[in-house]
Amino acid sequence: MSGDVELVAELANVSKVFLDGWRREVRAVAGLTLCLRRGEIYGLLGPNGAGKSTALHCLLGLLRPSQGTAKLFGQSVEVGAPLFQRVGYMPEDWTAYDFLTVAEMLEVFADLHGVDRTRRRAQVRQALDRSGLTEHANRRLRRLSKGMRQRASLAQAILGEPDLLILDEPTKELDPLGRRDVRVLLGQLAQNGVTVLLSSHLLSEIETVCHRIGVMHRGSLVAEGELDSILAGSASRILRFALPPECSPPVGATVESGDVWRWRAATKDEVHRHLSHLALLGAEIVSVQPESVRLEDYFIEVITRP
Amino acid sequence: MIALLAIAATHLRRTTRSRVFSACLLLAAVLAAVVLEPVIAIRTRGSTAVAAAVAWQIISIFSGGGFVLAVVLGVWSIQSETRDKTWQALLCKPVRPWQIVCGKFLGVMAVMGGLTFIVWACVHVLMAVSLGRYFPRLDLALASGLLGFTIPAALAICLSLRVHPIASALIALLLRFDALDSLFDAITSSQLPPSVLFVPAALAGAIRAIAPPYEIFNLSATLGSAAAILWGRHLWIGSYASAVVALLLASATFVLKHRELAKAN
Repeated sequence: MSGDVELVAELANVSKVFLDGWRREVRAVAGLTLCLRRGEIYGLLGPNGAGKSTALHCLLGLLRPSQGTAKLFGQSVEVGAPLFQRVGYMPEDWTAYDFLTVAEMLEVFADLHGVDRTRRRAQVRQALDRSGLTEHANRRLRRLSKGMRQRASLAQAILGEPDLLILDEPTKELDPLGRRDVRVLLGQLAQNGVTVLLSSHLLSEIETVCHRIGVMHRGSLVAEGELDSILAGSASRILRFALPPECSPPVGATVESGDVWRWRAATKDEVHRHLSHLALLGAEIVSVQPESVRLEDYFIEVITRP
Repeated sequence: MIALLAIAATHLRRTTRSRVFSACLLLAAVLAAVVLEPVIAIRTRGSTAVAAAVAWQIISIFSGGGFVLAVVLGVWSIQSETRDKTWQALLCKPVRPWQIVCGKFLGVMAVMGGLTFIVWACVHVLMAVSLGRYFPRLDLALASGLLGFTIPAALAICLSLRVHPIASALIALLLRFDALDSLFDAITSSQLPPSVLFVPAALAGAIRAIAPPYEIFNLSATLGSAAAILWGRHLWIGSYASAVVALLLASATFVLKHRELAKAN
């Protein structure tokens, strides 16, 4: 990591071991190193039990790492420290204080967040607006739908204009409209310099909003990188060509449209072999392009690697 | 301070807006009606001793029931947060753990204070209607009863941070188990028939725990509880150690009580 990039959150070689039953150790996180830069949206992916939530809890100081260090804004994490004024956290499956109205709940969290009393009302109103809950401000949370409650959870996370937002499955219960709203909101926050760490199973969400992703599997980070380069950076190429009328297509090629055929080459050598073969056939090469990868394919490929 | 008060106010709202609390209030009203029934007898007979005994029974019921309620509310204050996962959101705010514990404690004591006020008003009305006078000792008893709720409530909150909710409630109750020795006093010293007394006496207790000649044991148990609360990181060790000490003290209290009764017989 270059020195001029501001690190907002950092996990350095963090491991977390739990005791399951009588002295049987379960390693939930193993040697995880993760850095978040200012203003980026980082997607943390992984199958169930990969250790994502444990990693988030270590980062937030909710769990003490068995090994390694967790830092926020360059400081060691300690529960209740003033640096949490700069952090917003939305836990997964959060039922909030369902005996309160949405506005009351946000007022409580504004007080806990240390929002100045004079600014509290404005902050609460802003959080309600941004999460689309203004109309439901005076309704008790227990009377709201799951999706609305999730919006309320997001509203409490963005209260107090945090610099770092940690969201655990933020769009799980939301309808498509709600998901779009969250995407727009996260984009706006990132433009304003807010760093977002997003843990989600919904790859389509990650694919749409994240700048960088990390894939966790069995407690470790098995892949990490800029989303654009991951999606475009596959070694495989697609060769598109047109064949003379009398020629039969090579084995493995498929019709793409009309006279144009499509042939996939997994490596550079294979590209050369295919091109030589097509030259012998007298084919006209239309294009040779990198194969675009869907995040889902990449994810499955990464976690099924031996 | 604002965060601490916000936590206390939230717990107060959680309690007063819960259906369980409404049901408890209804139950208390029914129980009060049952207990106040002897007022008719008091008015016809005009006995000062009987009126005072009824007032004492109301306070005893409240003290005994309130002692259990303080433990339940204390455990619930933490357990409900962990169940709803609001605990995680709470710990990710710039609020120190001691502020959370103190806020919860204030919330529980606000509920208990409100209930004490209701009982105080009831007793005043009872005494004013039946006798036209009031005994200041009843106020003192209620005040010390409220004070008596602080230890089980604080203990239940602190234990719940580390121990399973049911185990926390049991340990907190056991730590004040010594209070039950006053059950003997409640049954033997009253002038009312045993059938009227039995249920209230079974609930009575905590208020009389500070009565002589066993204050040294109660004081030790209380100090043990306080030490457990203040023990910080090794809270659970302190809690278990205090529980063992309190159990031994309670056993010693019972043995002494039995010997005394045997001698008297």
